[in-house]
Amino acid sequence: MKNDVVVGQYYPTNSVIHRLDPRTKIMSTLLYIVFLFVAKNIWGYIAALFFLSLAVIVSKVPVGYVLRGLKGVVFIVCMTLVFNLIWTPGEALLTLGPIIITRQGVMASINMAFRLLLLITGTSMMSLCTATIALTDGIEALIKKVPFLGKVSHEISMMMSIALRFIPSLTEELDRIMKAQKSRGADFESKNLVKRIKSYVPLLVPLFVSAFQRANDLAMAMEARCYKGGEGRTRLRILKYQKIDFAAYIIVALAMGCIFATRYIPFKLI
Amino acid sequence: MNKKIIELRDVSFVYDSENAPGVKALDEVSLDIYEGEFVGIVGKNGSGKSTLAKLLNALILPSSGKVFVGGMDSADPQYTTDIRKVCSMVFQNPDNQMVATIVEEDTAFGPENLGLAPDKIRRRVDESLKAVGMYDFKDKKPHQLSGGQKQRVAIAGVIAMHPQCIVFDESTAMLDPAGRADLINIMHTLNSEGVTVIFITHYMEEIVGASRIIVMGDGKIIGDGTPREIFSNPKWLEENRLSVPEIVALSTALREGGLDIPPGILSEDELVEALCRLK
Amino acid sequence: MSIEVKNLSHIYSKGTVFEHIALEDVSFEVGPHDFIGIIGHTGSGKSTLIQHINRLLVPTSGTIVVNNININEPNVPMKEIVKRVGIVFQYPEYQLFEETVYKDVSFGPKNLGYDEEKVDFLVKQSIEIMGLDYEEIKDKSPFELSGGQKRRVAIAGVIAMKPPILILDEPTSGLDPMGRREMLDMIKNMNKQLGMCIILVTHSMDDVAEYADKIMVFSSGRLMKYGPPAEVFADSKFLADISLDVPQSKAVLERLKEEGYEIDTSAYTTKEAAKEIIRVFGK
Ligand SMILES: Nc1ncnc2c1ncn2[C@@H]1O[C@H](COP(=O)(O)OP(=O)(O)OP(=O)(O)O)[C@@H](O)[C@H]1O
Ligand SMILES: Nc1ncnc2c1ncn2[C@@H]1O[C@H](COP(=O)(O)OP(=O)(O)OP(=O)(O)O)[C@@H](O)[C@H]1O
Ligand SMILES: [Mg+2]
Ligand SMILES: [Mg+2]
Repeated sequence: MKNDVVVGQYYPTNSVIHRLDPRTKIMSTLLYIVFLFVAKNIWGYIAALFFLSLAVIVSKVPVGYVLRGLKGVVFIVCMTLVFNLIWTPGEALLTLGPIIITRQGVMASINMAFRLLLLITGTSMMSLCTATIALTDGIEALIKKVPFLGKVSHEISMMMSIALRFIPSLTEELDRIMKAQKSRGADFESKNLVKRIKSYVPLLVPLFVSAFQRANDLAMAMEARCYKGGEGRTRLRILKYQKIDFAAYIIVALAMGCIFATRYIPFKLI
Repeated sequence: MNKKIIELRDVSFVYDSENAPGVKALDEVSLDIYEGEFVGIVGKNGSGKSTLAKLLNALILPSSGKVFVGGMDSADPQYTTDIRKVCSMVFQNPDNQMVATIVEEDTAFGPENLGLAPDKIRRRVDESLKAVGMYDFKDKKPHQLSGGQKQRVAIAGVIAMHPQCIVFDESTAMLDPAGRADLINIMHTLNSEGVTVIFITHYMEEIVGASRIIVMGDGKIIGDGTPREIFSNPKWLEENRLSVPEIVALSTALREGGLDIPPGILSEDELVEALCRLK
Repeated sequence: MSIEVKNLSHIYSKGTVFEHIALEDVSFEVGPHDFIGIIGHTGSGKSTLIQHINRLLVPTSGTIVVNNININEPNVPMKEIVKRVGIVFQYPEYQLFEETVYKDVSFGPKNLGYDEEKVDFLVKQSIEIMGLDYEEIKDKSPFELSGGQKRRVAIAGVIAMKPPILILDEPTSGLDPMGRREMLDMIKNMNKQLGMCIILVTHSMDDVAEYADKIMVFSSGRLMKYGPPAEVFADSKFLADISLDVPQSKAVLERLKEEGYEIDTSAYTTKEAAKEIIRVFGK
């Protein structure tokens, strides 16, 4: 079958984590992210890494898959590292011509790198263990509870699910258009920047035309099936918390407690 | 005669767009379709078939004239949802009509919009997926299905709303011969269960089993009759950029070659039988 | 030989859980003026195969030689390949992008670096081959044309590069019966009058029966049969097993044979079948 796209990559196994209510997983991930920023030193990150690894083992998702999410962001992580290293003022450790590397800079970039890497692996864990449909259901249910946003929770989740539904179609489409133009001699690898940007016109125009056509068709198909927005709409599936969800919340709370506690462990690198 | 399910009275439809203002896609069309019919619609490209289909579903409203579906006036907004419940539609591109990211959620989409209770939705989803033979695929994602399977899911999504009439707008166009044959079988099964079927196609052999064929040309209905009547005139069909099914062409060639076989043969069985009677 | 494919295999997403063998050990040769039809059920690998012939896909193993150059040699530039092999994808009208028909059709020849005069000539010629009125259509926006005209303009954009080999993936889908016939006749003309090598991918047995000189039959990534229509359609049971069928006229002949008549079932077009039936049942 056609390649699964990274967005909403789901790795089905029968683990406890996969069986949790999507709301539990989303809330836990949010908490985890918050606590990554609460953590102050390497002990905090080690604790977070420990709990994350535990989750990976329990989920039965191959480690390779979890780490694959990192590939795309290595560049961003490196950039942030460099910026933090160079541009943080403070006590000089090393001077290389005009560049001054400070102690604060080193600390900040270590912090940043750990946070980013843990954050990305954590969130991709969530999407690996939650089917997209459950994810959108969970987000809809959670947004409903937020004041102001509650009214449009259906619209938001509808948008998300349509986007997820059509990203694979559009990437396939782009691939097809690209091949069609390549076989008319189009060159997308020109070294010249202006030429290169120009070479995307034959891709983007047809892509927009076809995306527009798709949107039109889809709107028509939805209307034909009596869609009129969220009002008066019921759902096939209704989310219900189980015992394991409460257990999971307790475990997550304990884990977050541990990470919080690490703030008080003294730490000095340099 | 059965009850009228669709009634068009002097319906015209004009598309107004920037680069082509005032394209008259339908020109004073009147038409009655009765419950339980299997109507094939053919016509050259741009003759107004899809426009007609969308009118039956209140997806567009006539520029002039009236469309009644199940006795309800499509121009009256209070009936819009009820009209779509009575008369539903399956489109051409199997990729562009699945809304949800998995099969059973997609089938549930219509009943969810009707506000049914969850257990009732579940029952309808299961029964519809079974009816099109896709129950085992209920947890699959759209891109894991072939075109023919996606089209069957689209039909399940429609029959889950229990419509009395289904319009198929070139729903077989993007499928291979096996997928096409499957889909047509499903249409006939639905029809035998009492659903009115309206089937637009460019493949003449797909509608030899219809109870009635409507021929469109330049926004007007230019022919309306049984398959036997419509396909008895190959010259006229050709003038209107259409053709006859292969079997009809073969029988015509045989008759012109001096064989004494009766006119109006539509299927392989009929032709073989007629030939066997000769010798 | 114009195209020589040897032991071609293609595996999508090799080494992942999504691994899928789309082509398996396919070998064949195509002559410079052949009209080849390719048939096979959905997912049998037809589109995967044709994309190899101009290096849009790289084989997992095997070689492809087009006009005596091995196209997967790293030093062969893409331009040299697209000069030799033109591909018309399914629904080619979705690749139109320029403001005018002229500009769109000239995209290919311009990419090949031809001078203005030559581009001019090629554009005019190919629009006319596609049965359109050059003067009338050249300054129109492709987006305001009818579906059938768009399709023709898109194909003109490929043949404007004058490829000696033209591959078309389902060029008739969505056209009315007459439009289908016109399209196939134009393709036949390119083969007969201009001597182009044509490879036509289609789901219609009647079309390949009538137009192709040789037919390739694919099933689950394998080339099951390759030969003239009479040979390919000889075994209707085999075709049914791989969810294909024989042309309707041929099916009638076979039914008559089953009924016990002394009839030759080798004909596969309406005309030939009618002749044979009249021979047996006449008088
Ligand atoms: N959205 C639109 N805007 C402007 N004109 C349109 C639009 N849709 C259709 N038309 C025009 O209306 C006429 C009828 O189109 P319609 O799509 O109903 O034909 P059709 O019989 O379904 O053709 P096909 O066999 O190609 O599907 C055509 O001339 C077409 O160009
Ligand atoms: N990019 C891709 N990644 C993974 N698998 C693919 C990809 N493209 C095609 N396939 C798979 O390879 C097989 C062959 O596909 P291909 O498109 O060549 O078939 P086809 O014979 O052209 O079918 P159709 O008649 O539907 O056009 C199919 O099972 C398809 O799902
Ligand atoms: Mg149409
Ligand atoms: Mg294909």
